[in-house]
Amino acid sequence: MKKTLIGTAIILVLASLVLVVAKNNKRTTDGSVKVGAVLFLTGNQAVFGEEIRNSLLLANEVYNADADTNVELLIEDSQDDPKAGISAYNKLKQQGVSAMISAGDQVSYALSPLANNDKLPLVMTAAAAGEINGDYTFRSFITARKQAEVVGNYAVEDLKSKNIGVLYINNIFGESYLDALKAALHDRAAVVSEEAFNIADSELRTQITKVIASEPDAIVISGFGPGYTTAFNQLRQYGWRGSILTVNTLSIPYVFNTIAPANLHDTYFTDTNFDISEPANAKTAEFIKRYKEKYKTNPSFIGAFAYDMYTVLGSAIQKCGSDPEEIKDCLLDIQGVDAMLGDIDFSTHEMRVPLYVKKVEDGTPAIVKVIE
Amino acid sequence: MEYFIHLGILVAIYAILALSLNLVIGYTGLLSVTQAAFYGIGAYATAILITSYDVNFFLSILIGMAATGLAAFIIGYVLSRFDGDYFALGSFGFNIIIFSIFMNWQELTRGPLGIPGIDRPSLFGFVFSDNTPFLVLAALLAVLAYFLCQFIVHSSFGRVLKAIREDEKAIQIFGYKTGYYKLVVFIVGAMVASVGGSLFASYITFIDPSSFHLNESIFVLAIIILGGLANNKGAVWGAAFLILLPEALRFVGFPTDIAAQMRQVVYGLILVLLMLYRPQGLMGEYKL
Repeated sequence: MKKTLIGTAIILVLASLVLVVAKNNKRTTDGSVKVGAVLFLTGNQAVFGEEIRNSLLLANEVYNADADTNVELLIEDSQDDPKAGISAYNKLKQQGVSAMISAGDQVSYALSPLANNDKLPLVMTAAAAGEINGDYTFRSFITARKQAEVVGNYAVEDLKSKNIGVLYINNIFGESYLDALKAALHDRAAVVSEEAFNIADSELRTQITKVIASEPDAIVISGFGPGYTTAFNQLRQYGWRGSILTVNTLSIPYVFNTIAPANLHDTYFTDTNFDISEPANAKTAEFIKRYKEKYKTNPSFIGAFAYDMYTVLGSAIQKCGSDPEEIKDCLLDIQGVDAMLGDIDFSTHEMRVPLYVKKVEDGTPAIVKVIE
Repeated sequence: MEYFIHLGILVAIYAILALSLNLVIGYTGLLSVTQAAFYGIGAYATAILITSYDVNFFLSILIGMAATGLAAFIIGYVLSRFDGDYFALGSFGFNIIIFSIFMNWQELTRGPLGIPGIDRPSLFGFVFSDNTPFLVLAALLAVLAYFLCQFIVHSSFGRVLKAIREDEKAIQIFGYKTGYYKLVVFIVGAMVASVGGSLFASYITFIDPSSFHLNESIFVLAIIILGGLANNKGAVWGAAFLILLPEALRFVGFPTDIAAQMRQVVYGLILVLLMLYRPQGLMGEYKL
C-alpha cells in the first residue's frame, strides 16, 4: 500500500507539473506569433541541430528588429527520435504555435501526417530523403534525389564514366541517394558496386576494397559523420586514384578540413552558392559575420537553409498574420524572396535553389558547372 | 490536451513492454535485453500487413504476435543453453541480429527508409484516427496485458517461475523441467511486447529500424528496474515515470543554448539518485 502511494504521488507530481506549466505556457502576453521548432539538439546529429538552432535564433532576432508583429520562437529537442519528436510537437502545439519547423528525416516523416491532420504548416529542414506529402508540408533543403541526379549526370556527361562504385551511409539519406542515383544513371552507366557504412565507422577497409575491386571509372560517396570523412581518407590510402563524386556535406567547413587535402584530389561535389570564403551576396556576408560574432564559429549551408527558410516564413507571417491556414496559403503564394541562397519561395512546397558542381583543386573548391 | 493524450498513449505502450519484460526478468530472473527486437517484429508485422496487404490492424496484431512468438521460440531455444550473464550476452546478440535484419532486409522492411503511411486502426467502420479513442484502445490493451501478467504470475505456472528465479536447481529436484517454463515465459513475454509494437507502428504511422535499437531494450529494462522488479504495478508506474519525467523537464526554464543537454543531465541525475536511495525501485520485490 505504501509503495503504491509513493508511486502514485511521484507520477501525480510529474503529471501536475506538466499540466500546470503547459497551461501557463499557452498564454500569449504580447500578441506575438509563436513558431515552434523541433530540432535534433542531442544525439548523433546534434552538431547540425545546433547550427540550425543558432541560425533560426539569429534569423528571429533580425526579423523581430524590423517586424510589426514579433515572432516568438519556441525550440524543443527531438533527440532525432520520432517518438520524442511527436512529444515535442504536441507540446508546442499545446503552446499555440502558428507554424512548425522540423529537422531530420525520421522526425519530419513522423510529424508530417500530424501537421497535415492539424492543418498546421510544417517546414522541414535537414530532411533530404523522400517526397513531400500533404498540403501543409514544406521543405527547405536540397533533396537527396536532386543531388544524386546532378552527380549522376555529371559523372556520365562530363566525366564520361560508365561504371560507378558507390559508398553510402546506411540510413534513410544514403538509401534515398542510392536509389535516385541508379534512376539518374538509368541505362547510361551502371552501378558496379554499392557498399554501405555507418555514421560512426572509423574503418572501411572491407567496403573500399570491394568497391575498388569492381573497377569503377568513378566512385560516389554519400553521407555525413565520421564514416563519411573516413571514406575519403581511406579510399586514397587503399590506392584509389580516380575521380570521387560526393554530396554537399563536403562543403561544411569542419568536414572539409577533417580530410587531408591530398585525399580530396580530383573530387567533385554538389553545392549551393553558400561559400564562407567568397560570399555570393551581401546577405550571405552579413549572415556569416553575425553568426561568427555570436557563436564564434563558421556556419555552413545547413544554417543558411534554416536562416533563409525563416526569412520566407517570416514574410508569410508578416503578410498574413498568425492564422495557420493563412500562413500556409501565403507560403504557397510568396514568390522569389531575395535570400542568401537565391530568389527562393515555397510555391512548389520545396525550396528550389541554384546548384553547382564544384571541383577541389589544390585544396580549394572551384565551380566547374552551374545547374539551373 | 493533445499533448497529455499523446503522453498517455506512450505510457500505455511502454507499460505493455515493461509488463512483458517483467515476466521474463522480474518473475523468472532471466536477464534478457531482446525486448526491443520483439517490439520491432510486432511493429513491422503491423506496418507491412497494413501498408502492403491492407490487413485490419487487429488481425495484424494477432499475426504479429504469432510471428514474434515464432522468433521468440527460436531465440529462446538457443538461449536456453545459457545461464546468468551468458544469457544476457546471448539476448544482447539476438537484439543486434534482429536490428540488422530490420536494417538490411530491404525488400521486406525498406531498411533505413522505414515504412511511412501506416493507417490507424479501424473496427466495424470506426477509425481510431483521433488520439482520444486511440488512447482508450492503447489503455485497454495495456489493462489486458496487465491482467494477463497478473494471471500468469498468480497461477501455479507463475509460482514455478518465481521458484526458478530463487533457486532453479532446487525446483529441478522436484521434477520440474525448468527449461520448458523459461521458454514458455520467454515466448509469452515476446508476444505481449509485440502488441506494444503494433500499437506503436499504428500510432506513429512511420517506423524505421532506429526505433528498435538495443537502446530501446535498455530503456524498457530501466523502466522495470525503476518501477520495481517482480511487481506488475511497478512496471506500469515505472513506464509512467520514465515517460513523464523527461517531458516535465521540458518545462524547466533552462537557457535555450543548453536546454536540451541540461534536460538529459538532470534526467540522468534523477535516475542515479533514485537508484541510490531506492535501489529496489518504486515497488520492487526482487533485486537483480
